[in-house]
Amino acid sequence: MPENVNTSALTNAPESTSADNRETMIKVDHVSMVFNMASEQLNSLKEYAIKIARRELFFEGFTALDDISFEVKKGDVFGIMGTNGSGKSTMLKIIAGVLEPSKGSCQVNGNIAPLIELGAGFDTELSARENIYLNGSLLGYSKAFVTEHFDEIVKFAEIEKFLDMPLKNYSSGMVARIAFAIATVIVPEILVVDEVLSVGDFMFQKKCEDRISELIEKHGVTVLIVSHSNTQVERLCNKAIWIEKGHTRMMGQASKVCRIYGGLGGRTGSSESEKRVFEALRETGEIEDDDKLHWYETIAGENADGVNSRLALRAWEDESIGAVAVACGASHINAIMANAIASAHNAPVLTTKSDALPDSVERILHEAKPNIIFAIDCGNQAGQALAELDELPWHPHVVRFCREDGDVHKLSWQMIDYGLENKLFEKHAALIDFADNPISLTAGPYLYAKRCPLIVTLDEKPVSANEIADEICRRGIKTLCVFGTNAAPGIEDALAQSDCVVTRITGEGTSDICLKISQLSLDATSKLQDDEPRELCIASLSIAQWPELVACGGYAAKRGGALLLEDQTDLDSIKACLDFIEVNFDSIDCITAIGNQIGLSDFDKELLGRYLTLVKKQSGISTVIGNGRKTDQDCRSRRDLHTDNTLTNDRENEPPRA
Amino acid sequence: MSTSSTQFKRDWSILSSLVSKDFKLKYRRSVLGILWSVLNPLLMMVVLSAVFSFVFRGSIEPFPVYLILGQTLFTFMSDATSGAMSSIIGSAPLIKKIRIKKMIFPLEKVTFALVNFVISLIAVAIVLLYFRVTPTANLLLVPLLLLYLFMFSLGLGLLLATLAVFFRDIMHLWGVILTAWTYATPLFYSIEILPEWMMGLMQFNPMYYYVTYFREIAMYGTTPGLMENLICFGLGLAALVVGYAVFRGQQKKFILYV
Repeated sequence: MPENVNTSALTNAPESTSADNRETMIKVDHVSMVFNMASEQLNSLKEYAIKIARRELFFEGFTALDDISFEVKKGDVFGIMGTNGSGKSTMLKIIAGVLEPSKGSCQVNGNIAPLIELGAGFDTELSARENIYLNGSLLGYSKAFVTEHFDEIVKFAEIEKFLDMPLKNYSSGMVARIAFAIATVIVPEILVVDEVLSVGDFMFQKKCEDRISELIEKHGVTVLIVSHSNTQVERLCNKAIWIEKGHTRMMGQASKVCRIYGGLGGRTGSSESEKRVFEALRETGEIEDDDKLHWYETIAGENADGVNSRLALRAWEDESIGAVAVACGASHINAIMANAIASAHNAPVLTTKSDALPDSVERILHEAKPNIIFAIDCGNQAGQALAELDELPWHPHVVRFCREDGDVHKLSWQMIDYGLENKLFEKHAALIDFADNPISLTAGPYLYAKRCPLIVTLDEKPVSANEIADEICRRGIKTLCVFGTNAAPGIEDALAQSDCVVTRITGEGTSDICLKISQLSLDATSKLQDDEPRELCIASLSIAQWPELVACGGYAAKRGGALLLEDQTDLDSIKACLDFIEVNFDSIDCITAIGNQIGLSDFDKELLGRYLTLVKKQSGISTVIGNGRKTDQDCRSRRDLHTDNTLTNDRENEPPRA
Repeated sequence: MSTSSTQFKRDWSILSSLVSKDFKLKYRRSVLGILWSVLNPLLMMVVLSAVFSFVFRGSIEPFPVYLILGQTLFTFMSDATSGAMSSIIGSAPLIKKIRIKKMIFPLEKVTFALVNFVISLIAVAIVLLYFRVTPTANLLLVPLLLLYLFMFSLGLGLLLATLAVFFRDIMHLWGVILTAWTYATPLFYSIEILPEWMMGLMQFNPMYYYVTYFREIAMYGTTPGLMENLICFGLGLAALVVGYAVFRGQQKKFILYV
């Protein structure tokens, strides 16, 4: 554990100054909760007798909470955060008086309205009306009180029409509405909210939140919120505690706790990595948040093809597009293979869906009217869409790299031969295995920058190392860069006798290899743009994001950057990314996140962006030459004026200055 | 902190709304509804008297009255105890979520059984009238009997509810025990037909005392003596004390097992 924050030190600091005299509403004093795991399975007398005889009973304990202490003062909105199974709900149950702690004590001053798992005590056979009375009495309201507020409840829950329908016919969202309405019809002294805001449609969620806010603002109700949603706690709470596996990890100001929790909560990784990320979170948190300062920029689109088109538009914003490579988006390899040829023609790589060209691609084609279009489709999945290229009114020259049989290895030779014939390529190539998707994606910028064609190996159609070596020698390729461990094992030996130099990029696991390739790309692109800011593209390693990254090669290469993939669930990977930025801060001027929300969360992006600023600040280097930035900005804003608005959705990426 | 009177009010309100919920649910969607509480013992009596008046012909007169008195009273006890037994497990969702007196649940089931019994007294009255059994002032002792039996059933129910939480086996076993108990209690036979040794055993059957008490005041029109009252009360009190003590001692652990 990186830090077991001393709870008393953190909580006392703000309270002793401003809120000394506030009444303590909830006092949790060294509470521990040990569940007896063995007892769960003992359901018959025989088992019980055996266990008693063996004296095994009551030994297998599970510590759900370990010595937790905190105080909630009157008017506080207190958040309890933690990942699933970390003991949040147990804590709430102890506070609500449902559970007795095994050790320690919990004092509550005032009546509690528990919104713990709404709808306790509802009977599905009864009508809503009957349930309102039943639930009301369970919550301790008198019948007269419920009658008096009946209309209010019904109105809040919006169930006027269905009052006498049995509850079993209600949707779960509607049941939650009723439950919430009943529970909050009184003004309690303490309101306990357990993830209730996550049920119901968003309009109702809003309504619930409004009601809770009203209770907080108008009535000064003390609120206890349990959530694993960072934003919710940050929005509503002033104080928070983070409980992880029953231990207090951190406690204090909600914004601070949320920040640390957002960076560390629920992620796995070694303790050193955790410490590293924690330090980064803490240090970057101290950078002043200036409205004008943005830590990163996001390039997003309506879908993967949109993202790819958008990348092209951005990279070629002040250049004309003379050629275009259109790759079938069904497989990542099409676009990756397109990099070298596209690079040779200074062309963007666009992706298409199978049935028709995406609107964004069509728009780029019609605006730029390129003379030459390369179509790459292994397996003939996008035949229909690519056929549209022949019908373009200005009759561009369409070069097709398509294979019906889907033999991607042969297709890669086909492309290399085309390139060599037309003198597009130097005598070098790269080798990647088809199945190593993240490796291919990170290699994109390298391939584009180096104009390096790609040889792909495919498991389903195995080719021996010797065969590949023969092909390489036959074409006179002098340098070969092999990415990853899976691609053509033994190729080094097979080429040992030839004059071809082989370099293999390997590492411990995919994410390590990816990182090395990112480094390689960054070095390869370093000299492309001297006066422009260099952008490091970041994205998530998760599979959901892959389609959005296939065309990133051209963008990153033209922006003098690389693609860095982060596995956001893994602290080791986050640490590695931080290290990458720390080492390369000199070569990176700003950070661009690729893709929609499915990739990295805003929080992760912000951490990397802030970290870059921090490292630059610490080393005393101001980021970019003002002029360079300005031109870039001017270009962008100029383009924004006359390209359509659907694609312009970017945040300003003013790089942080020291 | 709420005072004890508001706490009691709250508990009372929960109790009454739970009873009314059970009541509504029992007769929801049945055409005859609450009438079944009367019809059921009547029909039961018809069936049983058809069978048993054939077996034990002529030994008791009027046999249906004898039968329905024992039958309804025993049903009250068996309904109450079985209901109470599963009440804690059945209310697991509530117990886990709301701070609530756990004793309410068995108490509610026993109360619910009592309410049903009171309604079925209509059936008893009909049978009494039909067979021209003259009512006497002794009928005024019915509430007293009910109090005794209520205490007894509640005590037993609390004990069973506690046991059932820790050993679900009880729930299966109790049905068998109740059947055995039905036959061990003179509900449809006269005690005179029993051999000597079983007569001795009968002294240890609490239901024997309650059923006999009921028949004395309702059928034979005699006033039970002090001794009988003391036995009935004592059995009820003993059951209640034991059940209450066990339940109270264990109730904090319930949440970990339900």
